[in-house]
Amino acid sequence: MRTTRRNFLKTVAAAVGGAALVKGAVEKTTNQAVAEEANLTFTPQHLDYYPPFDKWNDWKEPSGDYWKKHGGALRNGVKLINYMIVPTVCSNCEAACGLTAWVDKDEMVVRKFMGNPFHTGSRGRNCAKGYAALSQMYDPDRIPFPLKRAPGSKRGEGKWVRTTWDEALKTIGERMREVIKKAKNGDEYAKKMIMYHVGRPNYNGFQPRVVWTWGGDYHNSHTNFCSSGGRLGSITWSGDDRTSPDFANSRLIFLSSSHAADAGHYFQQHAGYIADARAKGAKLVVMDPRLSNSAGMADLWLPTWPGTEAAIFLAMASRLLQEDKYNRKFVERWFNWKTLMKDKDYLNYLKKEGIISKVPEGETFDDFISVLKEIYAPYTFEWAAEETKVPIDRLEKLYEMILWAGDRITSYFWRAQAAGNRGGWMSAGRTGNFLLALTGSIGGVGGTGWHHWHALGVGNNGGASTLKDKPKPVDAWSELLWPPEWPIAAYELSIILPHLLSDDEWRKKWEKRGLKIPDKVEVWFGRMYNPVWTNPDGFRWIETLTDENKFGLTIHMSPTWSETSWYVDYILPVGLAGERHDNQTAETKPERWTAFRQPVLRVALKKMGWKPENPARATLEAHKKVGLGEVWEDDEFWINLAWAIDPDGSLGIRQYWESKKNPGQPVTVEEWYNACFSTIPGLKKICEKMGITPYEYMRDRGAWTEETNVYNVMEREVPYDPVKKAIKVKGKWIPLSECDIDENGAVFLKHHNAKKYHSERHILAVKKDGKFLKGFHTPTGHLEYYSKTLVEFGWPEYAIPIYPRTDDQRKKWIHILSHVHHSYMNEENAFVLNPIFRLVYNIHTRSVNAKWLMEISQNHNPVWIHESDAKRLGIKRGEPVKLRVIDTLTGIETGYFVGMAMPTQAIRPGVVACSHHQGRWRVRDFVKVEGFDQGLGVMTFGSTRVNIERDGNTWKMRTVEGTIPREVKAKHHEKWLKWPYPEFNEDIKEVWWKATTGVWQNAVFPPNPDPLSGMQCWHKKVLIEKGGPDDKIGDVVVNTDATFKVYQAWRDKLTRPAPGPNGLRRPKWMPRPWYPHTDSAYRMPGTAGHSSHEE
Amino acid sequence: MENIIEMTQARINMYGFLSRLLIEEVDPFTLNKIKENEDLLELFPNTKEWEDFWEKDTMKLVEEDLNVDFTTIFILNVYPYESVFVNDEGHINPTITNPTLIFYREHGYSIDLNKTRALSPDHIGVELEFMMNLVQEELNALAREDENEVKRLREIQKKFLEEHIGNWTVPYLLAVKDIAETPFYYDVADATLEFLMSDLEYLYNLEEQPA
Repeated sequence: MRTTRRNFLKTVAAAVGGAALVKGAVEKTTNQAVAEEANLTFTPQHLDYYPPFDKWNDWKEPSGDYWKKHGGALRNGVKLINYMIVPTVCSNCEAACGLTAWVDKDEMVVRKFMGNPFHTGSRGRNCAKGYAALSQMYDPDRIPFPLKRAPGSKRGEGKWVRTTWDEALKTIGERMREVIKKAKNGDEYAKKMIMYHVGRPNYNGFQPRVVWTWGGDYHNSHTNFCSSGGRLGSITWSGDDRTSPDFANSRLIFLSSSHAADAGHYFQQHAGYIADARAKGAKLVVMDPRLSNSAGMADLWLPTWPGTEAAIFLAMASRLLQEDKYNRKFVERWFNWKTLMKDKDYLNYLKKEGIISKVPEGETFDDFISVLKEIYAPYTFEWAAEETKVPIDRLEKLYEMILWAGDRITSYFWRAQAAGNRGGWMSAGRTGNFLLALTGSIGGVGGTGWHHWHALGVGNNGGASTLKDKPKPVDAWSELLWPPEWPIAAYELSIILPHLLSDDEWRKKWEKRGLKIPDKVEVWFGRMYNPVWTNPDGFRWIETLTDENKFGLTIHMSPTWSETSWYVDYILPVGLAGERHDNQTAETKPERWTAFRQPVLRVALKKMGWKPENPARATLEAHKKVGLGEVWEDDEFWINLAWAIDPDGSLGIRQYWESKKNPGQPVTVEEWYNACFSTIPGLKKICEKMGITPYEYMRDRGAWTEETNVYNVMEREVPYDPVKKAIKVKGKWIPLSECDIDENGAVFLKHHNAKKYHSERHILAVKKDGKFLKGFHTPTGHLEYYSKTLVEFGWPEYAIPIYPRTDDQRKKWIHILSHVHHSYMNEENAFVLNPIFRLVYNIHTRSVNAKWLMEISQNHNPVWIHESDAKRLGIKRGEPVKLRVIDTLTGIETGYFVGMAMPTQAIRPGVVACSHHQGRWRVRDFVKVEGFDQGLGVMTFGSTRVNIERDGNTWKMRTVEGTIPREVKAKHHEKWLKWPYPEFNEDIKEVWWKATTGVWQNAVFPPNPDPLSGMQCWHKKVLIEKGGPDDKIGDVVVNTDATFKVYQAWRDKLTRPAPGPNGLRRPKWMPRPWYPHTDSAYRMPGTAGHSSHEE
Repeated sequence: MENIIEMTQARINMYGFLSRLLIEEVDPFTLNKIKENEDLLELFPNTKEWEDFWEKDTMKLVEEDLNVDFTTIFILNVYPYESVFVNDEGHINPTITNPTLIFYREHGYSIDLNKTRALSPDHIGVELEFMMNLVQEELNALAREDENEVKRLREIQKKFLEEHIGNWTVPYLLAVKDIAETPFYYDVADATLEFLMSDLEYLYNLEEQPA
C-alpha cells in the first residue's frame, strides 16, 4: 500500500500543478470577519439548537432575507436583527402547537414564527401551517379595520364603509340589549334569538363563558359538519367524546384514514409520535379507500369500501372471541356486562330480532361471553372481505398484528368514515372502540386513553378576577340549536340552521306541542366560521343569510375576507395566531399540557416599557401603534361588548366582566388569565417558588405541563371518608345516602329515578374491591358495551355494536347503513365520492390568506379516479368531469359540479375523491371602501373569481378569473398603517398559479344529518360523466328546492324525536356543550320535569 | 528532508487537482493536460480504455458526455455536501451553524463562496481545497524549519480528515462510483478514494517519525 501511495504521489507531483487549478474559495481569516462573528450571540453546534431562555428578550441573529439576496452568510457580510422571542400558539388547526414569534425590536414587526421548545406536546416543532402564520399576519388582503355594509345597500351587494370599533360596539350592544332585556322579562323566544356561531374555536373556555353571561341559549358551533359522528361512537362507550391514543408507545397503530399520520386532527404532534413508535418497531395499518401518504408508508393498507369499516372491526372482534384471545381480565373488569345480563327485556328483544337464539339462564361473565360469541359468530373474515371489498389475506395479516400487539393498540376515530357515512358513529367509534376494548387496549401504556384524561383547559376559570364568578345555568333550550328530532346528537345541528329558519311547517308542528321556536335570529355572530362555503348547501345559506327577516344583524369576526363575510352587515377584523389571547390545550399524548396564545407585538411592546391608554383595549392600541391595523383580539372585544350591552349593570351582565382589582373598570386579559392559570396547582406552586405570577410564567414561556404519564385514570381512587360515609367529587363531599349503587358498582345520585333510567344518571364513582374508583363517565361507570340509554331513547337495535349483514337487516337498520353502501351503486357510472380528505398543508377555510400555503396547494383538488374506471368511462387526465350528486334515500338529484380528472392507481375502483380544502371563490377582486383611499384585495391569490346566476331555486356558478399577481404597494395616505405590508409581499407579483384553485363541491351537497349523531354525512353517491363542450372546470349547478326536500326526508324518515324518559330532550349524562342548562330546560314542555315560566 | 518536501508538494498538488475535478465540470484545458501526460493517465485506468476519450473531439466529449455525467452525479443524484450525508434530515446546511464551517473558522480560515458554485462550505471540493491550504502551510513551516508548527498543522489535517472528510467521503465516493456513467468520473471517484485513504495512512506514519 505504501509503495502504491508513493508512486501515486510522485506521479501526480510531477504531472500536475494542482494548487494552480483550485477555485480559491478557502482564505485565511481576516480581522474583519472575526469582528463580524463577535457580533453574533451564538454559534450553535446542532440544527435543533434553540436560543437559551435567558436570552429570549434580546437575541441577535443574521437576517434570512439578507442571506437570500447576497447569497449566503459568507457573501458580503451578515446583517443582524435584534429579536425578542415571544411565545404564542398556532391557530391553524386544533393541535395547538407551540409557536414563538421572533419580534424585530427595531422595526416592531414579526420576522418569523418558529416552534416553542417549552411546549411538550409539539416539542418545538411545527408543520408548514405553523411557519406560514407569518404570511397570514402580513397578508396583503387582510382586512385592516372594521367594515360595515353601506347604508341603503343590500347584503351581498359588496358596498362597504369603514367604521370604528366604538361604533360597532355601540350598535351591536344596543341591539343585543333589547333582546336580552326581553329574555330577562320571560320572553321564551328572546332566549333563543341571539347566536354566537363558532367555527374552529381554538380556545378552551373563555368565549363560552362570554355567551353564558348573556343568559340565553345562544351558543352554536360548527361541530356537526366536522366530528359529531366521531364523537358519538366514543361517548356511547366511555362518556368521553374522543380517544387519546398513546401512539409513541404503541405496537399497532390502526388508523381509520390518513388522520393523525399525514393530515387530520392533531397532525404534526401525532405524526411525530407515530414515527417514534415505528422507529421502535410498531406496525402501522391504514384503512382508507385512498392510498394516502400514511397508507403509502403503512405496513398494511386496507382499501375498504367507504362506510363498511365496521365489518373489519367486528370480524376481528368475532375471531378474538371465538378463539378466546380477547383480554379476559380487562373485559371482565371494565365492560358493563352485568347490566346486559340482568336486562332480560333487552335479551328477549335480541332474541326476537334473531340476533341471539335464546336468552341465557345465568348472569355470569362466561354467560356474557357466550352471548357475544353467538352475536358475532356470523361476522366472519369471508363475509367481511366480501362486504368491505378488501382481500381476505389482508384481514388475516391484520389479525396477526392484533394478536402480536396485545393491549398496545391505538386508534383515533374522528372524521373519515365517522364523518362520511350515515351511521358513521357506529361504523367508526362504536365498533372500533369495541375492538380496542376487547384487546384491553384502553387506558394503559401504548394503548388508547380518553380526551378528558389528557386535556387541561382553564380559559373558563378566570372568575376570581371579576366581581362575580359563574352565572347560573341557563334556563332555555333553543330548538334552532337542538331540534327535538336529534336528542342523541353529539353537537348542535348547525348544518340545518338556514333550513330550520326557513321551515314554517316544521316550526308550527312543534309549536302545537308547546315549543317556542323563533323564526328569526336577531343578532348573529360568526367567528372563524365560513358556513356559506364550508357547510353543505351553501346557496341555501346565502338565501337565508341575505334575508333580513331571518337574520337581523349579522357580524362576522374574521381577519380575512371569506365567502360568508361577503353577505353580512359587519366584518370585524380580529387577530390571528400571534394577535390574540387564548388558553388552549389538546390531548395529543398521555400528559396534561396547556398553552397560551398571545398578541405577541403587544407583549413585546409592554416588555419594552409601553403602556396602553386603556388597559382593557391594550391589544387594539398595540396593533395600531405598530401599524398592523385596527386589528383587535376577541377577548378584549367581548369584555368591552359586555359593557356595551349592559353599561349600567342593570342586566346583570357587566358584573361578570368587571375587574375585582379595579371595580368600575373592565377586567383586563392579564387579570383574567392570571386567575385562570392560578387554578393549576403545579404551575401555581412553581410560580410561588420563582416569585412570579402564573400569568408571567405563561407569558414568557407559553406552555406548561402539569402531569406526565397519565394512564388508566379509571383506576384512580375517589376519596372516601368512612366517618362521614361520603365520597369527594370535584371538591365536594357527597354522602352515600344520597346515592344509589347499581349491579356494576356504579355510584350515582338518586334523583329522577336514576336507578331505573340510565339517561338520568350522574355518575360519581365506581365501587370495586371495596374501593371507590373514578371509572368511566357513563351511566354504569364502565365501558358500555350495552347502552341502555339508547334503548330509552328508542334505538334498541343500536344499543350494542352491530352492523347489517343481510338485505333484510340493511332495510331495517338503514340508520346505520352507509348512504353510499355498494348496494346503492346500481348504475354503471355510479361512484362514491369521498369529499373530505385533508391536504396536509391546508386548513379548511383558513389557509386562503397564506400565500405560502396556497402556492404549494394550488390545483390540488382534482377528482381522483381509478385508472380502470377512467378508462371504462373514456376519461383522461386533466379533462373536465361532471359529478351529478344523487341522494340515495330519496333518489333526488341536487345538482352537479365539474372537476378535473386525475386517473390514478392510488384509489380503490368504484370510489372517487376530491379534497375539501380547495375551491375558494370571490365575486370581486377589489373592494372600494368609503372612508379609505385604497381598494382592499379579496382573496386574490387563493381563490377564483366567479360569476353567480340565480334562476328561481337554481343557482349556477362559473369561474371567470384565477389568481391575480400584482405589485403590492401602500397607496393610502395613513402614515401609521403598514398595510398592505409591501415589505413582506414583494413576491405577490410572482404568483404563478393562475389556473384553477379547485371547485366548490360542498354547494351541491344537500344536508344529510345522521339520524343519531346529527353528523353531516359527507360522502355522496355521484354519477360521473365526461365533461361536455359547455362544461368548464369549476362549474357548480344546484337546485336549493331539491336540497331542501332531501333535508326534510332525512329528518322525517330517519329520526326518532325526543322526548326520552321523564320528558328528557336528551340524556342528562350527555350534557349540552359549552355551559350548563337547568334541569327544566332538559325536559320538553308539558312533561313533568319542565317548569316553563309561562305555565 | 528533501523527500518530505517533495512528498508535501505532491500532496498539495493532489488535493488541488482532485478539488478542481470535483468542484465543477472539467474544462478542455485540464482534460487535455490529462490526455497528454502518461503518468497522470495512471490515475485514470478505465478512462484510458475508453474509446470516446481518445476519438471524440475534446469539446464534444466535455459537452456531450462528461458534463452530462457531472450533472447526473453531483447535481441530481448524490449531493457532494457533508451535511447531506451526516445529518439525519439529509439537507444541505449552508448556514453558519454548519460544523465544517465552524472547523474552518476555528482554524483561522474563512470561505468565499462567490468564487465557486458550491452552495455550502462543506462541498467535497471546498474540503479538499481546505486540506490543500493546510498542507501548503505545512510546507511553508517545513521551509522555516518550524517543527512545532509543522506538527500542529499535521494534527489539524488529521483531525479534519478524521472528523470531516473521512467521516463521509468513503460512502459518498462509493455512491459516485456506482452512479457514474462515464469511466472518467468513475476514475475520479476511485482516485480520490484511494488517495484520501493513503493520505490518512501517511499522516499516521509520520506521527511515528520526527518532523
